[in-house]
Amino acid sequence: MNLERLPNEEKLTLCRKYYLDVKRSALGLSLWVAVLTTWITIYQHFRAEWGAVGDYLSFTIPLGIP
Amino acid sequence: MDFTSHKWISNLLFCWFFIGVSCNSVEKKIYVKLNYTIPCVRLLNATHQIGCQSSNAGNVGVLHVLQTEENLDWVLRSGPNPPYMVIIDTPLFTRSVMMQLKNGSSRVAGVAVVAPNTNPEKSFSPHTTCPNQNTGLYTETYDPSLANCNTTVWNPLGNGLSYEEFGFPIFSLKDDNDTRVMKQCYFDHNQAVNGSTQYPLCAMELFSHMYAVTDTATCMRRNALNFEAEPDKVCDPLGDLNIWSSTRPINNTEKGHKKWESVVIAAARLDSRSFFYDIAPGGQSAASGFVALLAAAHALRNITQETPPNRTILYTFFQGETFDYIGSSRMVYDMEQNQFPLDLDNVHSVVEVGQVGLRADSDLWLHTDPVSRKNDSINTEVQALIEKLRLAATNLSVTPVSPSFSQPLPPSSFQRFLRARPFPGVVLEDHQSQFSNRFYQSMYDNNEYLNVSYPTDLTPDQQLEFVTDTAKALTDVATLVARALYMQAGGAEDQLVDIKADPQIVTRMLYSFLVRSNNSWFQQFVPAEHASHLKDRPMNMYIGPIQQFSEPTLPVKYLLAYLTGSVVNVTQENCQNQRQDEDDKRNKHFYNYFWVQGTAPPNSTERVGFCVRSTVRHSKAVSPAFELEQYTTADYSTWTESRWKPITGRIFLVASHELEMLTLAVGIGVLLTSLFLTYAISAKADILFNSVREPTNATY
Repeated sequence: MNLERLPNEEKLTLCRKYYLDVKRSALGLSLWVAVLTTWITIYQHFRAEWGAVGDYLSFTIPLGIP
Repeated sequence: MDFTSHKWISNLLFCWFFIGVSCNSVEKKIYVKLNYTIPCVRLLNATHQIGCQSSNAGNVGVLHVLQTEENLDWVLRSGPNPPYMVIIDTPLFTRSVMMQLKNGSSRVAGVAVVAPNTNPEKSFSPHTTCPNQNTGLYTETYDPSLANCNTTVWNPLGNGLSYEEFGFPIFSLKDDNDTRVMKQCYFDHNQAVNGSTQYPLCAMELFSHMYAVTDTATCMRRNALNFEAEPDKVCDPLGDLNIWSSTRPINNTEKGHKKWESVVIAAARLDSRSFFYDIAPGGQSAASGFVALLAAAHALRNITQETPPNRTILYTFFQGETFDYIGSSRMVYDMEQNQFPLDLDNVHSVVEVGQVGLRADSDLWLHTDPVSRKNDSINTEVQALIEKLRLAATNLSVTPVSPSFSQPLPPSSFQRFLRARPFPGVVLEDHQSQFSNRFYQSMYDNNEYLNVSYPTDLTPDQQLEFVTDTAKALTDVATLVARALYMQAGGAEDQLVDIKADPQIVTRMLYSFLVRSNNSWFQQFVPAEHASHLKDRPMNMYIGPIQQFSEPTLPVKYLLAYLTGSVVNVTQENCQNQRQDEDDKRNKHFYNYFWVQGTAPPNSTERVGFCVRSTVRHSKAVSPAFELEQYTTADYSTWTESRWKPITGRIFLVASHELEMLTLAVGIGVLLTSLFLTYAISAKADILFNSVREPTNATY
């Protein structure tokens, strides 16, 4: 698509679309950050307590600590 | 061109070499490495972890030599430079001191215990007061009144330190030059003047980071989770081999019940431990018993060939008994599962030789199980066995005596057989109730404690042959055991006078196990490939992890073969292929052939080997818990040993925190200044350098 041939109105709608996409992306990012932070905090806090389940969920198990 | 590049490379190499050398020497200038350190390591069972460990990066602390117990206040509260690395001499290595250090562990970086060159006057046993409390015979269901050492506390001197968990490393140091350097470093730098100390201070760093944690179930699970990123295991089961042989050849290939076979088991234990990893002399707690049994087996060699009794005598040497009866529980399990050449129906009775090295007077105590003796037929057989032991003692300086009827058995392998079903049997010990051993399962349970010492002017070969009083006393026990076994197996009473243990053999064995296994006698009956394993020091009788042999296992195997087997005229090739000649396909099921290195004839340096044929075999001494993958079972031993990073220690001087910060600040300052200068110079480069170049341009 050659932007120079596009009429101004369409440029505007395109711009709006991009702006909304950026907003959604930011929302998604913050959502993921929140979800992952919560999960990692819960997991690291309870990993030792969960015993076997905690170990099976993990890919690297630290040496010498519960 | 070639030439110049060559020159460059050689210059570069020279620079690297120079840097390498100078770095090395800087490290040497800063650190003094400790050469001889024995760590305490982490062990785990179904419910606990015990032992010691440092953090991943090692523990560093300012040295403090603890002189009295009151001095602890400096370490735990008043000292201004925590954490401390505490050096203690043996008299202070007590439960009270260690538990205070353990509870103040945020101010304690580690402990170094200076082991004395001679045994302490008092007692010291880091074991528990009731060894193998939960895996023996006397459970609440068997007899509540006998459970948990209710009637007899076997090891009242035990302080339980070996079964504590410490959050810091604990090392043992020899009382030698290294230790003196360390103490001198403390006295030069760290001793407080008027309650304050001046930097630089002498500090020590100990590394002993353990991989396994929590309990055996956790570490075995993590062993199984084998990711590519971390292919390493974190712990290994304790395990080794039981050694056994029989007076009549038994088909070892066919497992399970043997028709018409009835065996008398003659048992002893092979292992011991101490608080520290690689020092477990086990003189009284293991060697006294198994040496007596080996000597008895030797005394019975000829007579069991010439006038064999009706029953077979099965000599068994159990490994790992210290850790909840690993060896005996496995043999009983194998017999129950038809994994052993015999089963429990083949077992007639059990005679066990326990701790027998310290008889103060002539008494030898015959311990029996009061619960199984409530059964009349068992009781009759036990009484008959006791009678035979009394008869066997005729003309010996040993008096067999029975303790009170209601007293339970001391910790012994026989308990694991009785757990399966009642058998008649006796455990021989030198103590009536509590152990006579003041150093049970400690580093002092050594040759010195057993009085296995020699006049100072003897060469090693003369010491090997010197018959000590301990050897004479043990010989009498061995003779008694041999005669009793012969009668118990159905042998005739009139043969007894011919059964005599040899004090020469006993003294050589004591020397080999408790002083030096690398000696001319041992060398001749081990295979050549094993000769390098013999050491110029006492044997370490800690069982260790499953992959490596404990030090006494194979020597006992070869020794048992040499003492009970016969030298046969077989070529080396046939011998190593377990056969009498090329067509022989049968004997390997009944006999074991060892090609041993022998001795060199007087006019030669080349050893002349020979073939020893015997009925000696080994069987696994690994707890059934690992076979069944039941890591939380209470019925079997679940002990595992953690793996660890290389264990090291070093001492060095540390500067005060202020000086460290000042150095850092100056460094950052220099960096920032140089950055600024570089920027300023490059920004003004036109002005700074142009004026020099201009005149040269002008000449054009």
